[in-house]
Amino acid sequence: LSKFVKEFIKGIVISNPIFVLALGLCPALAVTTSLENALGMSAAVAFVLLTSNIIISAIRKLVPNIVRIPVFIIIIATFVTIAHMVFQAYVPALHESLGIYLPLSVAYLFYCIILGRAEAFASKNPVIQSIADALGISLGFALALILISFLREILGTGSLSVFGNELFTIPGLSEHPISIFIMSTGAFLIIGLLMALFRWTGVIKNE
Amino acid sequence: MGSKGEQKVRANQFRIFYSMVFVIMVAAIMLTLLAITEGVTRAELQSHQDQQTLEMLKEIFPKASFYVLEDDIYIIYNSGRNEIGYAFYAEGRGWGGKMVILVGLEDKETIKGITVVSHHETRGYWDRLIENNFFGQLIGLKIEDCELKKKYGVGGGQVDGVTGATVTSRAVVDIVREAALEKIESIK
Repeated sequence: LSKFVKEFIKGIVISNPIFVLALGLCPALAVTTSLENALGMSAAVAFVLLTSNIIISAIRKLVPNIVRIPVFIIIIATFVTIAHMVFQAYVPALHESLGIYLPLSVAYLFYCIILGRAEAFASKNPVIQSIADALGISLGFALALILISFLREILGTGSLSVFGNELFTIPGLSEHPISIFIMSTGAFLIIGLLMALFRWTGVIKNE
Repeated sequence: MGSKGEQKVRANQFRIFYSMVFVIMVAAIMLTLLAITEGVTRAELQSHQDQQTLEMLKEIFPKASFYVLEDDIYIIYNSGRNEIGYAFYAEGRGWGGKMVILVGLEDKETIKGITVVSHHETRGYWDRLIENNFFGQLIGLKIEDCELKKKYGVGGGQVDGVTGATVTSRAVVDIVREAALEKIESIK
């Protein structure tokens, strides 16, 4: 169990996909314009990571080495498509605002799972540990996305709303929002500053 | 020595064969999963799309409460289950390419309103059409009058074209008129 917890924590802090591995910056830039989008994307990513990690680690001993990458891609792409279909049917508004980035995240997940993770993880470890790893890494991804989108939405629009409910507005800022933070330039700024902040405070260590 | 080499070749062949079968099997299983998801979500997706269509029809027919699709023509009913009009998609070429317009008819002769679904016209010219209330002119118009007013010997309808955007104006009224004349034939 302590191994489970260790793997779980590792995904959030030590190998946070965005701030440490700097993986998946493309979806992170594109969908963090609002908190709502970030939550939707995180949910999709968590689902795909968890399901494909479980399957990959379950079949890891059966996969012939020469075809492991095609096999992993097929599995990941399938679950991305399933997430895409489910979003389209049940949360069409979110599906529309995530747009192309939901199916595009297959590329990110591929890097994340295969090159960054599963090659080193799910394909070499038993199912239980892969679950912990998937949960940790998707929670790390979700927290990073939430933090970025939180800052961007507040600075860029002067207010914060979740699922149609306006949580609060900042007087002054909402009339004259700093709209650069809604654009991708703002995302780079925020991500860079946060990365610097985490390194400086020592939350994330250079190895 | 010869048999050892043969064994190696055999083992290699088997490995390649096994790999191929493995990939095909994984693909088949994943396809089945996708098919199941598609089946589960289809009904929900359909009702969502129906809702969207109804919403678009409501822009033209504010009283619409449901519709029946028959031969590509939407027959629109109000809450009292009375027919209040017809709608259909009209396609044609504009200045910049394909234009798709949702046309609403009050009866077989009168246009109720139109919604442009997609177009490739130049932005500024398109804005001129909107500023000049070009589309508003079509409301309540007889189908045969849906043509630009006579100018230099062409046209003969009741619609004022927008200066500087004549091609786009003409494309819109021609697409609407031609499609409407064709479709009223099949309305019972």
